[in-house]
Amino acid sequence: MLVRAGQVLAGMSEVRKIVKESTVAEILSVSGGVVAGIILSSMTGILERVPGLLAAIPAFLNMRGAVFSSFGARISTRLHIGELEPKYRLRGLALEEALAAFTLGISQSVLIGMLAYVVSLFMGTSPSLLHLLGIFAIAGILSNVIMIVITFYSDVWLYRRGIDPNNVIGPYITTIGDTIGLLTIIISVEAMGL
Amino acid sequence: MTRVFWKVLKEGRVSLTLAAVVEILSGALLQSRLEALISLPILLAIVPPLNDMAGDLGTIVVARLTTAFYLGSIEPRLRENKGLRMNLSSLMVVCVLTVLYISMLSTLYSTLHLGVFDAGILFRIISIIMLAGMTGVFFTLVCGTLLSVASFKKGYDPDTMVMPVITVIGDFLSIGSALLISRMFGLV
Repeated sequence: MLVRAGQVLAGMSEVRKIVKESTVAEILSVSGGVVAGIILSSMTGILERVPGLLAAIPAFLNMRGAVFSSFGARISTRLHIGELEPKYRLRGLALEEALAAFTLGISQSVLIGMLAYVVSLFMGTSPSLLHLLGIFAIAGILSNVIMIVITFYSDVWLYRRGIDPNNVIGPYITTIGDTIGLLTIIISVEAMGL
Repeated sequence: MTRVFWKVLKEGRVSLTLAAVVEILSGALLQSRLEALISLPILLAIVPPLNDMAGDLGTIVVARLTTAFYLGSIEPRLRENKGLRMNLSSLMVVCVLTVLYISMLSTLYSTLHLGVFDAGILFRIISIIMLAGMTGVFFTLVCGTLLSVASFKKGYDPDTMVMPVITVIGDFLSIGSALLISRMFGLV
């Protein structure tokens, strides 16, 4: 009876922890979505100047979220199971994970540029393959480097503070990824002089 | 590079490519229906937060279950599994709190930014947010759980294999439920 009561109480405490940590993360994420929406609405000039860009933006942003939520979750699992020490040092296994995330991020950015070109042709616009590839390659490199640093250090920081990164890192990273993704697209369009 | 690097690349490449293709098509689909959505901007405004919520909660369930499977605190099976039920019900509570917050933001956006305060439309929009949000999240969580269990049992890391796919599933289900329920309320 006492064991059963103990199990129920432990379950309740876990539920409270999930609800508390995830709700805060979700509210920040939804609010961050509004910031990303404002940045996107300020990009109408760029979207008009670069045909095909709009069709690729949702995929580019989603890919940033997917690659780095996954990277954050793997780091979190390794911290939980003791394969990584919670230290602010990006080397060894953590560096290997970071390089894998970087490689995936770059290859997917280039793929998205090519897919956007093909889809835009079918939709009747006439994009430049060179422009789309250049924009997404530059934006991919910049955003990958920034996201690796933010994700890894946030994971370790959360874990050291006793917060389960699994409850927080997904919403947090997708939101930051949206904002950084859009800003790096603007920077790469400007860098290419378009 | 050692085993970890190549394993992540091998497992991540397939699911990310699939996700990119589906997302490009979703982007094209949204763009093709832009005129209908622009006619009611408040409806357009609720799409990103509903997408974010479904994707976020999907990634949380996958991340939590993966860690629990590796630690052995939850068995990777679907039947009579209290751990799975506890995770799903906790995240549905988070979903309810988040749709309430999105409803509040949408009312503020409609009233302050768009200058529209039509009680009838607002009631329908809030109902759409509640119903579409909860339906989209429920099915995303179920898919996340099923795919995580299946992936772990097959020897693949759900953090790498399922995570990219679940955000796309979340987008698809939330956009689909929002459009379907808007249609039921006669707004699209």
